[in-house]
Amino acid sequence: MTEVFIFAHGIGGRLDLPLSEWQVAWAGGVALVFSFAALGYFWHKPLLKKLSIGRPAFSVFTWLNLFKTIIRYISLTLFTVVLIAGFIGQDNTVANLAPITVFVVFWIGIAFASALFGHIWREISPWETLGKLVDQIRKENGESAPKWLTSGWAALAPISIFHWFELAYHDGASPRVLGWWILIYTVGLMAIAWRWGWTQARKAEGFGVLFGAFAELSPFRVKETEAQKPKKMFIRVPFVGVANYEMTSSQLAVVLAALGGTAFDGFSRTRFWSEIIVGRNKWELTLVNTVGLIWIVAVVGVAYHLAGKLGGKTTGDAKFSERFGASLIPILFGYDLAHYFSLLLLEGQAFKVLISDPFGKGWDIFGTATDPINWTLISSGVIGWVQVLSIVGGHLVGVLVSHDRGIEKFELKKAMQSQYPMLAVMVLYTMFGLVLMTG
Amino acid sequence: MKKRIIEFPRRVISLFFILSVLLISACGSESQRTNDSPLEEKTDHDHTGHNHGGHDHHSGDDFIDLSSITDPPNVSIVAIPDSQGGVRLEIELENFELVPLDAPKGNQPREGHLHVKLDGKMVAMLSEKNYYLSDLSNGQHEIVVSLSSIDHQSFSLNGKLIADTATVTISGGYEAEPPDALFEVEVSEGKVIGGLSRFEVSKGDVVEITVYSDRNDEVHLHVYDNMVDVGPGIPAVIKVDATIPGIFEAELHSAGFRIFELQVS
Repeated sequence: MTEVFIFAHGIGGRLDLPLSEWQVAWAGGVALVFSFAALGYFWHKPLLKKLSIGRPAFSVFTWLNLFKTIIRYISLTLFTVVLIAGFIGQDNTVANLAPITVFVVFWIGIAFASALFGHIWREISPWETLGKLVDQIRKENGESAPKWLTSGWAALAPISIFHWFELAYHDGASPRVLGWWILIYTVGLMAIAWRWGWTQARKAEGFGVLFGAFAELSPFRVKETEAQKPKKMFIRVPFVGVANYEMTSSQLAVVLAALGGTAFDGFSRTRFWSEIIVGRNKWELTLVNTVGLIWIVAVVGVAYHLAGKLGGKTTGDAKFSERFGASLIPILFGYDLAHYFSLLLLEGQAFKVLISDPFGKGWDIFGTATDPINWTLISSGVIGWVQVLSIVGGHLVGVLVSHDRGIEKFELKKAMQSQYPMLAVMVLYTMFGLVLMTG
Repeated sequence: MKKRIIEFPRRVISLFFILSVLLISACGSESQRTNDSPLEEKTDHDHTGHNHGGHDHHSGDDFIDLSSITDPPNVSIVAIPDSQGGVRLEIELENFELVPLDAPKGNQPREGHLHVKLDGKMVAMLSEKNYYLSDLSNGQHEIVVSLSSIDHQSFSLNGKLIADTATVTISGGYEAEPPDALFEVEVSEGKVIGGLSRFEVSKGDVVEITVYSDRNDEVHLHVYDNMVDVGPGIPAVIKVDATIPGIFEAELHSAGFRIFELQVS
C-alpha cells in the first residue's frame, strides 16, 4: 500500500490559491507610492552603477574550476539521458523524465540559479560543451557570420518557440515532442557552430541569452581580466548588477518575450481564460491558446515599445528603450518567482523520483524511485507571501534601476521626465501581474 | 514645450488612477462569485442504465491491445469482506504470468502484474494472487483488478480493459464521514453543462463530486489522482479527503479537456 503512483499528466495539474484581496491591495498600494516617490524623493546622483561593481572576494577558482568541470559532465550526461528518455521512455508526460527536467529543472531551476549565482549556464550548458567541441574539430573557414546571427535576433526564435510549446500547443509536454524539439534545436545550433564557430552560434542560443540577463541580478560577478589568467570574483548587493547592464535591442526583445510568455501563463490559469477554453481540445485548444499567447505578448511588448517611443521623444534619446531595458529584468524575475516558485518546490520533487528510473524500465538507481511527493512541503500562506513579495520586489528594484539610469544619462529635469513613461509601463506590468494572482 | 511638461504628469496620474480603480474592482468582483452547487435531486439522468462487467475505453495511448493474439489473458476476482472492515481478494488468472514489479524486462503480452483500484483510486500493484485490503469504511465499495504490463500500461482486448470488478458491502468497519460538500458536473456532447465550475472547499473537508457523461471516458483529478470511469448511466463518484491546499484540475482523459476545478483553501 505504500506504492507511489504518479499518473497525472500535464505539468500544471495544480494551481496556487488566489491571493487574498487585502494582500493584493496593499501590494498594489506600496508599488504605486514607491513609484511616485521615485520621481522626487530619491537620490539625484547615479548610485547603483558603483554598487554594481562590488568588492573583490576571495579567490576560489582552483577548486571552483574542478567543481565546474564535474558539473559540466553531469549536465551533459543528464542532457543525453533526457534526450533518450524523450524518445524511448514512457510516452506519458508525468511518468517520463523529459518534461519535468525541461519545464521545471531547466527552464525554472536554471533561471533562479542564474539570478542567485551568476551566469552558470555559460559554464555548465551542454550546448556550450558540445559547441566548444565542434569548435575544436571544425576548420576555420574565415567566413563571416550573417547579420541575423551577429545581431543577436536569432535568440528570439528558441524562446518564442519554447513558449508556444509550453503554453499553447496541446501536446507540448509530450515526451516525444520534447525529444524532437531538443534534438532539432541541438542539431541546429551545432550546424551553425560548424559553419560560423561557436562564438557566433552562442548568439542564437536564446536560453543562454535569457539566463545571462537573469545572471545580472546575481550578487556574484566574475571579472575576466584580459592579461592574466586568474579571473576575479566580486561580491555585490543582490539585484544592483542590472544597473550596469547595457542591452541590445535583441536582448530586450528576448526579455519582453519571456515576460509576455510568463504573463500569459498566469493569464491562462485565471477563471476568465478557463471559461474560454472549457470544452476545447486538440488543435482547437492550440489555436485559442496561440491567439491568447500572441495577444498577451503583444500587449506587453507594445506597452513597452510605446513607453520607449514616448521617452525617446521627450529626452531626444534614440536608444531610450534599450537604455531602460535593464529595469525589466527584476520585473521578469519577480514574475517568474511568483508563478513558478511553488511549481519548482512541489512538482519539482518528481524529478528526484523519475531520475531513479529515467527510461521507465523499473530501475531504482538512486533509491528514490518510489519516494512520495510532499504536496504540503510549503504552506499556501508562504506561497502567497512569496508571490506578493516577488511581484512587488521586482517592481521596486525595476523602479530603482530605471531612476538611476535616468539621472545617470540626463540632467535632473529631463531625468524626471524620462521616468514617466517607464514608471507607467512598470506599474502596468505590476498591476497586471497582481490581478493575475487573484485567480 | 512648457505645455508638454505640465501635460505629462496629469496623463500619467490619470493612468495610475484608472489602473488602481481597475485593480480594486477586479478584487471586489472576485468575492461576489459563488459557484458552489450543492447536490440537488437530479431527475434527468438515467441511473438505471445497464451495468456491463468490463470497462469500456476508447483506445487510449496507455493501453496495449491484445486482440490479435490467440488465447488472450483474462482475470477474475472473488472479493470476500470480513467483519473488521477488510476485504480478502482471490484472483484467478488465465494465460497470464505474474512477474515481480521490478522486473527489468521488456513487455510481454502474457506477463506483468496487477493493478488494484478501490473506488476509482489506485491502491496497490501486485505480483501475487492474494491480497488483503484493510480499513474500508462501511457501505458499498467497488474493487477493480486489471492486468498491467511491466511498464504499467494496461492490457486491453477489443478496446476493453482486461479487468474484473467486484462490489462489496462492508459492515464492521468504520463509519464513513458524511461528505462536507457535494458537487455535480455534467458533460454532454463534448460540452460541460453550465460551463467550468470551480468548487471551493476548506482544507480538511470530505468532498464528493459526481460526474455524469454521455460518453465513456475516465475522470482524472490531478494531484489527488482519483481516476474513475464514467459512461452513460454510470456516473463517476469522486471522493476526496481535501488535505492538500491549492487549485486542482479535473479532466476527461479521452476527450482531453478540463471539466471542473477543485479549490482547497
